[in-house]
Amino acid sequence: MRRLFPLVVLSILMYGCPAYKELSPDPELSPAERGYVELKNDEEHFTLDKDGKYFIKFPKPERDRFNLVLSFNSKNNLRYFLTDKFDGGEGPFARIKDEMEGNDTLSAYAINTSGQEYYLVIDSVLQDLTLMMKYRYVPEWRFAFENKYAEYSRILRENLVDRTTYNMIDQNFDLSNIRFAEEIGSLETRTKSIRSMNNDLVKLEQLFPPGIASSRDTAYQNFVALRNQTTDELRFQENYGTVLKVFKLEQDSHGNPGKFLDAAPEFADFMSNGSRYRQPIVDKAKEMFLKRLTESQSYFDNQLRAKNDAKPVAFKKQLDNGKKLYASMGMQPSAEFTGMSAFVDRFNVEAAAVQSANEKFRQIDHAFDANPPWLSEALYADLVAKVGDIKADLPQLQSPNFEKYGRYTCTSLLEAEVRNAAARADASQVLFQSGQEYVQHLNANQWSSAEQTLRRINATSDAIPAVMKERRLFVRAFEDELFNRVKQLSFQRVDAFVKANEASIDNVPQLYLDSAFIPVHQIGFAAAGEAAAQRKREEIQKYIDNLKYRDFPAASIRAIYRDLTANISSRGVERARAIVAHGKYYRGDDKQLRSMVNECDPAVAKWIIKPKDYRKLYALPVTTNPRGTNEYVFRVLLKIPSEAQFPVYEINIKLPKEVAEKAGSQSWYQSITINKKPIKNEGRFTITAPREDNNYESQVSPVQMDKAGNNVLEVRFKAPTFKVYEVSTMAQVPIIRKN
Amino acid sequence: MDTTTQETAIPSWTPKQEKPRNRKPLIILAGVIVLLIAGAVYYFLTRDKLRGMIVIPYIAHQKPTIDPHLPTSTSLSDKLEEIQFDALFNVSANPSGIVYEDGLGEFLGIDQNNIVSVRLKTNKLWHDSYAITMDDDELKSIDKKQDHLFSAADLGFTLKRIQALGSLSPDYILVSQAIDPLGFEGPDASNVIRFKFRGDRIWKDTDIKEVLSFKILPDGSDMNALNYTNGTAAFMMLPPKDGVSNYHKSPDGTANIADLLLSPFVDNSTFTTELRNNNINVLLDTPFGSLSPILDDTSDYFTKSNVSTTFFAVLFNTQRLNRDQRREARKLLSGQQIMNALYKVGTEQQRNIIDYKGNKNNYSDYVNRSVFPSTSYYIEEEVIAPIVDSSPVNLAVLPDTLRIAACMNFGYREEYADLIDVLNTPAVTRGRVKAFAIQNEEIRAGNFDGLLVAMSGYRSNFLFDLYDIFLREPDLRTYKINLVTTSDAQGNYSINPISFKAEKNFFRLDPDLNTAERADILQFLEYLYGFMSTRQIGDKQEYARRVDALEQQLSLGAWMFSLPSLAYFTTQFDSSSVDLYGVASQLSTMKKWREREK
Repeated sequence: MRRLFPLVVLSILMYGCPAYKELSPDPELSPAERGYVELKNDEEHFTLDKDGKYFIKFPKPERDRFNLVLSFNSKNNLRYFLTDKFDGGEGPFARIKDEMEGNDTLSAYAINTSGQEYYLVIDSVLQDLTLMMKYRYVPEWRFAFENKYAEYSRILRENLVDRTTYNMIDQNFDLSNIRFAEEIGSLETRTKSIRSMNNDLVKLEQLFPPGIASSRDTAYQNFVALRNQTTDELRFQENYGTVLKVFKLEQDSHGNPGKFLDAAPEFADFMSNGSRYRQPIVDKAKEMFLKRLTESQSYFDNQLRAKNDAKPVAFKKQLDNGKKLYASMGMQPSAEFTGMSAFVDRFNVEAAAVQSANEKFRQIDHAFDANPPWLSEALYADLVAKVGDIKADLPQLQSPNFEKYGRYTCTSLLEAEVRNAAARADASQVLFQSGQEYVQHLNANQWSSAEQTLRRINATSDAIPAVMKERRLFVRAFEDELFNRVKQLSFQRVDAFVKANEASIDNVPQLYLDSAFIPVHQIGFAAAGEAAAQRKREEIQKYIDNLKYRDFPAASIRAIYRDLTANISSRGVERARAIVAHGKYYRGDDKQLRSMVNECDPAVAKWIIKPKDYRKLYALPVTTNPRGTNEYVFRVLLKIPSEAQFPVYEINIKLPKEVAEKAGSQSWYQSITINKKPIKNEGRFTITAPREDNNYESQVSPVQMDKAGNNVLEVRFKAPTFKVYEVSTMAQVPIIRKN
Repeated sequence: MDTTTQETAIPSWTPKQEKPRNRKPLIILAGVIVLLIAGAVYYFLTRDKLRGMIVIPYIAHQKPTIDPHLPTSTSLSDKLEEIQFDALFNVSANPSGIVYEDGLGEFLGIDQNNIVSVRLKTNKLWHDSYAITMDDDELKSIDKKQDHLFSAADLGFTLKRIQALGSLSPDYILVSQAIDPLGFEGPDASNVIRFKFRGDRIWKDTDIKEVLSFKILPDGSDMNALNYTNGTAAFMMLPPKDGVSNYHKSPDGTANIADLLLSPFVDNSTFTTELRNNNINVLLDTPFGSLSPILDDTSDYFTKSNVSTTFFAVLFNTQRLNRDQRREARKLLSGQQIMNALYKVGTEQQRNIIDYKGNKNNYSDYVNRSVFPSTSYYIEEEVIAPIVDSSPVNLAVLPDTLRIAACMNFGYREEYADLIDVLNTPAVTRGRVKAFAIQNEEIRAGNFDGLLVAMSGYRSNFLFDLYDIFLREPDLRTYKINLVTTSDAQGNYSINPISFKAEKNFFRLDPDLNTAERADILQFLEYLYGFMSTRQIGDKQEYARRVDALEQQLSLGAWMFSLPSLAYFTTQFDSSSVDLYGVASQLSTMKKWREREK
């Protein structure tokens, strides 16, 4: 019992989902092409239950491109579709499109022989009903044509155009009787309908099976008749339309030869296809065109006569159109027309050439306005080439040779323009070649040659303003470039020199004589005059001098002083002397730098500005004997703020052991002076000897501080060394000594 | 009055001395060659007679007396104290300048509170620890008698004496500028004593040792002895003969040369000859301070110039000359003119001079225009700018004859004699001066308008001695300063006007006897004392300016010129061992002197 329970439940659920019921007509359905066959079930109609589901199998057609057409008394109570695969509602299937979907009674489906059979699936019945349905297997073309024939016939009938006017037009016909706008509008509407129907017929014809033409199928015969009528009417309407448009164009250009000739290509085309039209119409048109062409000659001649520029003649195309029209009519243009056309052709060639030249000049001008790469040799090579091209492209003037037109203003103007262009080309070529020469010199750093070329460019005068303007641009640009290049290279050279030598300590004075501190070239030319050149020279020199007298010595002093203080034993003397040598050139006001220089200059007295504080200073040799005995010097100047009227101090000098260790057997100093007057350990002066037990400190006392002057204490000593010694000095008010 | 003269320069007791041979008869009879040979023989036989000794001349009636704390009338006395007495730290010298050597103390250091620690050398013996046996003039033996060791008490006594001497003693200024009141703490068990130094400066070792370079006397000494004999230094004083002692190397000493002999002479006129004759081997001052033509052989002699320590001045008798007369007399006695005449400048007999800076014949550098000599600190540094009155001498103001006296018996006889001649030269003093010699005893009577005096032993440093000029007893035989001070309730001292009494100074300055100038004289006395007693340099500078300015008004003297100073040594000595410096301390390095090796 338990095993049966699921099946019961499934059965209950399935009860609400009725399966598709196949309707099997009797007689069986036949794919044969014939009329509608009523679907019956043994002489009875099928009855369909509300909400029932049904399907009917239809056999495949006998040939491809068939339609299965179903006719119902009413489609409204059913929901159905046709498919070529049906599995009781399960599995995939594709609905075939109902090509009569909007029809209340018919459904049509395109079927072919590729499938086995087709299924009409009724998946919804809205109410109980009796199925009143017919079916028909019919070829596609037939079904289509049968459905459209009546409509096509109507369209043709309704859009036929009366041919009376067309047939009446001849040389005597007054075209003013035709209201072209209305006529053309009406005609175009009809032609559009006819053409559309004709297109349908062409497409329909492609559906016809091969061999249909030889059959006696009525539908096909009807089709052929309809198509022939349509073709004839369409051809007539198109020709008539063309005639109307041509005449209308001509009529619209009355009083305007230019407009006439603008339309001449259409006229020529009309005339070229004259066989399509009635001959009287063609004759009338020809007569009319010839008249208009003759009239246009004087019109264009007047325009040429009034033309006061050298631009190409604008109506050349119209003249060409006129020539084509003549040709379409099989006629030679008049001599006057031909002469004018030849002149215009030549004029336009020459005008275009000079216009092209001028355009190229303008491009050159624009290029200059856009600040080209002035130092590019390619620029000048290109310019020279361009100017060469301009010269080559300038035409040999022939326009003035035309007997009549050669005297016209435009011809004179053209002649002038060509000559101007040639002259400018010549002048420009010279200028650009000079520019090229200048740049070659400049890029080769041949400053004098470049400047000489620049002087020549500036000195040359041009009659052509444009060239003169370019010349001024050249001069300005070249002058700037020469200045900038000289400045830049001078700066680079001196910058590099400074960087490379800032730590150099050998032959320092020689460094300052280096050519790096001279500009690579002394600017000798400025278009604005010598004063401007002088300013340029000064600007460069100012930078160099700033390096020479400020940055270089400053950087050197700092670098060397840093090295010196890091290790005074490592070429200390050379470093100190280098600092002093740099200091002689330093013109800045950096007190710290001055102080560094002074510290290294034995000739400069080191200030003691505070009592009782030791101040370090360097004792430096003033002789140069790297492997022997040298004389050393250091100087001290008291600058201690004091309210005393006669301030006096003792100076304590802390000496290096190396200097003082033999002071007991020989004097450690060679001389001690105050303001160059020797002082000795006599009289009022006391000089104590440095010894190990007083930390090698010597005392000189008393040393008067001259508040207004410079009392310089100078100490000289000799040592068998060549190095920098560090000495510390301290000043304080002395004690009163007995000895 | 001691006018004894001795022809023999070498004391007879000298153990290494060889007796000169009687050379007259033989040499006269011999020919020139024989004479030369004899001379050569004599030279070789006598050249070493001073070997092992240092022989310095002195003026026989100016016996050197030693007071290590007071200036004395003879410069030799100030030099001799250097070899006889020790300080805690002795001032000496080497080729590089002054050095301070341990004397009776060992410097341990100074702490952040300026406490200076010194370890006393209490194992040092006073010279009276030895018994000296003499045989007539000859030293027989020096034997240990009993240990008289140096102690802190000796130092205490010495400081007490210096304190008592006050501004009379340069040592008082020296010590009191650093330690006030004078004294110390200790000693502790390690014999370390501590001085509290002032905190107004960085005390360098050099400064400390200079402050503590006063000579030390033994405790219990007479506070006012005329001659101090007991020291601890390298040379000890031998028993005196005729009031003068020679010196011998102390048994504890390290002197290279054992004996220092003081050789008496009547005057200085023969000093150079004595040196040439090898009767002396050190001449600390030549006559006129000039180069001697007979000592120009550098293979035999070497020299050393010193700064001047003596100036010649005519000190006006304020009882006989009023201020106007003194002013005109000062103008009449042109120092430059007198010096040119004295040194015979521009003549074949010119006395050539050289100073320690190497300047030659720079006579004008020695001309003085102030009581402060031109070589002194105050003039050289222009603290004082003496006013030079270049107006013509108003002879009408002066007495018909300006009587200038000079006592020639106490040194500088040569200079005095020539100066009297110069002053009497009409071309120099326009016939208005009568210069003449007088005896020392006549000075006090003041029967002259001016007294020509050689002021010796002056210092060119801050410690220029005005007492020596203005307060010295007018007696060249003794050296006495008539300074009378008064103490107030707070213990502040001031000078008493009675310091100026007519018979108590060379100028016969006496405010009570010169009412017209009383105020200026008293003011001058104040400035004088202020200068001498202050230990502040700035105050000294200011007092110096005031003293000079007021003296210019008072015109108390014609300061004429300073005497160049030149010392000669025989090459018996190794010149490299003779490091002389300064003046007063010239002999402090004597123990290092060596004889030149042959």
